[in-house]
Amino acid sequence: MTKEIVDSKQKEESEAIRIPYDLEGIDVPSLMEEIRKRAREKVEAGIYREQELSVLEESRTAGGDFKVSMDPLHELVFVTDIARQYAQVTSHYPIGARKGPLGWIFLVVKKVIRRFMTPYMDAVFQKQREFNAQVVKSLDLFAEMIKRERERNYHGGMDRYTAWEELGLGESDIPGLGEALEVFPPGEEVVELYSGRGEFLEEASRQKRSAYGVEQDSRLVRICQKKGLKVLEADPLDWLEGQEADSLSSVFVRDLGERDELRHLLFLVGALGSRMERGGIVAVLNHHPRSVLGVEEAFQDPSILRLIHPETMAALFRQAGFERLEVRPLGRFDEAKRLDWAEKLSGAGLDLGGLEDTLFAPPRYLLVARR
Amino acid sequence: MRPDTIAFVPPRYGLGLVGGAEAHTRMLAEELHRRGWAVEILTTCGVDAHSWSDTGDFRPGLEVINGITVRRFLQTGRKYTRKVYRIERRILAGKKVSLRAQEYWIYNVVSCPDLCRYMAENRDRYRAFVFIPYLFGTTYAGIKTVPERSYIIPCLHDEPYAYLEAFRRMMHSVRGIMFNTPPEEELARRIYGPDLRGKVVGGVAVTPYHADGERFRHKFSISGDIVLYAGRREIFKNTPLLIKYFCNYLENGGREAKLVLIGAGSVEIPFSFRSHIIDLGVLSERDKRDAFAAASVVCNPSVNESLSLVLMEAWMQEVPCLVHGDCAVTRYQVERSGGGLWFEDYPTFHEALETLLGNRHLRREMGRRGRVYVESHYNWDRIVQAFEEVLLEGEAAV
Repeated sequence: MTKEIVDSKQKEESEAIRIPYDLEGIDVPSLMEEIRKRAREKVEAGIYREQELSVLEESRTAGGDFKVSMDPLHELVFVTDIARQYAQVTSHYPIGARKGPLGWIFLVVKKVIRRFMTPYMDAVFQKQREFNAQVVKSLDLFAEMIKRERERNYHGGMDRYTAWEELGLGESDIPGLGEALEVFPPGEEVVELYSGRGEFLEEASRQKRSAYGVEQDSRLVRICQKKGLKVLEADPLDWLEGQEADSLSSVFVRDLGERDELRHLLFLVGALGSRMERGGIVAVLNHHPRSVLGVEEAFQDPSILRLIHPETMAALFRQAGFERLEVRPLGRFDEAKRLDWAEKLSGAGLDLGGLEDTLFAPPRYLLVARR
Repeated sequence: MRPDTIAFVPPRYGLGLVGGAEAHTRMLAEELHRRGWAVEILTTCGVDAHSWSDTGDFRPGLEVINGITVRRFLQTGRKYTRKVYRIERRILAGKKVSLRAQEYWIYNVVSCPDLCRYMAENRDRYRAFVFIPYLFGTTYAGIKTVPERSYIIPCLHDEPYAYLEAFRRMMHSVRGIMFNTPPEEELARRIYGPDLRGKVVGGVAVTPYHADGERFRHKFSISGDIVLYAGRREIFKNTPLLIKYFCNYLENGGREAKLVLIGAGSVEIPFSFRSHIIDLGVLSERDKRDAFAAASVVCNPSVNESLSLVLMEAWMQEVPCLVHGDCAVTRYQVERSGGGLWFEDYPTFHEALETLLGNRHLRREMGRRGRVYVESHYNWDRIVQAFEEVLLEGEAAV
């Protein structure tokens, strides 16, 4: 096969090492030859340099204002390692003296002084060592608690990306996005928390509205970025808690509280209550538990754990300080879909009778909360 | 009646210990035990591969680990004096060192007279004593004590210690040598002569295992491409070289990726690169396996390998490997399997890593080839058969 591919991520297509598409026939020694050739060419062209770590470090931190943004867990592990290195306080440091005729005398004097001082210093150092050991142990325990907590929060691999992209489950056509957008005043920039694959942001873009998303799953962020949508990679709750009080005007959230643990819903609604400005609007588009068939459709997405009743959601927002609340049922089963369901159900020998209204109740609701 | 117990004699042994020879001994001993062989471990109370002190959790006496009897002995008579240090410096500098000085040095690199006494007194209870690896007082003194029943898994590297006369004599005095790979056997025959007894046994097999890379990413909060280093972090294993090359790779416009280090030992991470180099220390077996599954590339920069279990574990997760071209063994494995690339200096490291990280399809294909290679060359039936052949040849030669 003569067709060749170059990974889309390659920065300079013309410079990329060309990998035959037919990988079955790939020859590692030939690939290594090409790597060596390219390395030689780049060295000759002065494209990259190999520097000692100390030189690299100095060049990066020159000026003193170099900052490294780290994940808090990684920072904790890093500082704990440093603390561990300095925790051992001892009087047995190396003793030296200048070279010269009197050097050895100074060396002997220093050693004698240390010999006499050691019992007194060790008494002090012992307490310091014990304290340091306890501090390091506490830091280790703290890191372990965080890791354990994170591990327990893991959904066993069943997250939104897996459900939507890998298993192909979840809704492809989400009703109510246009209606949700309309509740925000024209000209206002809308923030969508947990923006996922960016369906709401796409709708906003279609309607020439300004909007950006906040999403923690880097794979979903990449999907949005490929679509040209503006998305910030961050944990939405961390991001929200990092905003100033009364600073947000328009926030949209979809499937709020339906996936994470219930406490995340409480934290998020609480944080929205303090970060939204007076008169600011939060719109929540969720699955409606009243619609029996809507519920069945909702739970086709295995990352959904529960549905939140609109009255429960309204009560939570009211408690968080939102004064004007409005719940609108959204989305209708069109005629084709109704017929499809009716056929499936009557096929099972069921007489729908007066149950139609419950079965085909709107599958979504939109909660509009004004502070 | 011939005794049938096989005694493995490593310098240290235990569940949580990090190290290739330690893992090798445990995996091989447990597999033989599963197949009904009578197996015992004779070892010291040492825990740490640097200090070798007996002050850890291991106590002298009997212990059973995963069904295998472990006899531990205290290390006595070992002195790491200035004389030992001076001799070691001379060896590493390639200077001439007398046989007496060589022995003085070896006896002070983990020495356990009680263990030797036990072997001398109980030699008739064991069919064979299998020593692993070559470079320790337990191996050298043990082989001198029971040469007629000694076998060795040398885990030999091309390093100054290997060229000592003491080890040449030791290699010729054993009943059989069990090599891990053909390059290791080649090296041994080149250094000690072609008339060595023994053959390639193949080390150990890595059975397929389930792992969840996303769980690892979630637990340790790591996103994006991961270049994984697994094993002891030390100069001997070229960890500082990997850190230096990786920092230069980022500085010279390399792809956004994280270097994740797992294993024992300490390593210095430059302050300004600490968001890209994550040191997680020693992990549980589950976390370690998940780390392999999460990795885009596994890098083993060591030039002192006789097998490299890390490559096997990576390939079982279909992850390609990047190794040092100066290591005959890892390069042989990579070349033969097609499961990765190698580097000779910084420029080739940069280009090789860039090629792997930039080509998902290539990574997948190389990972797949690696897995096929491990499954076809490293299976327990072949290894145990070769192990037994070396024992039988040794016994026939008595």
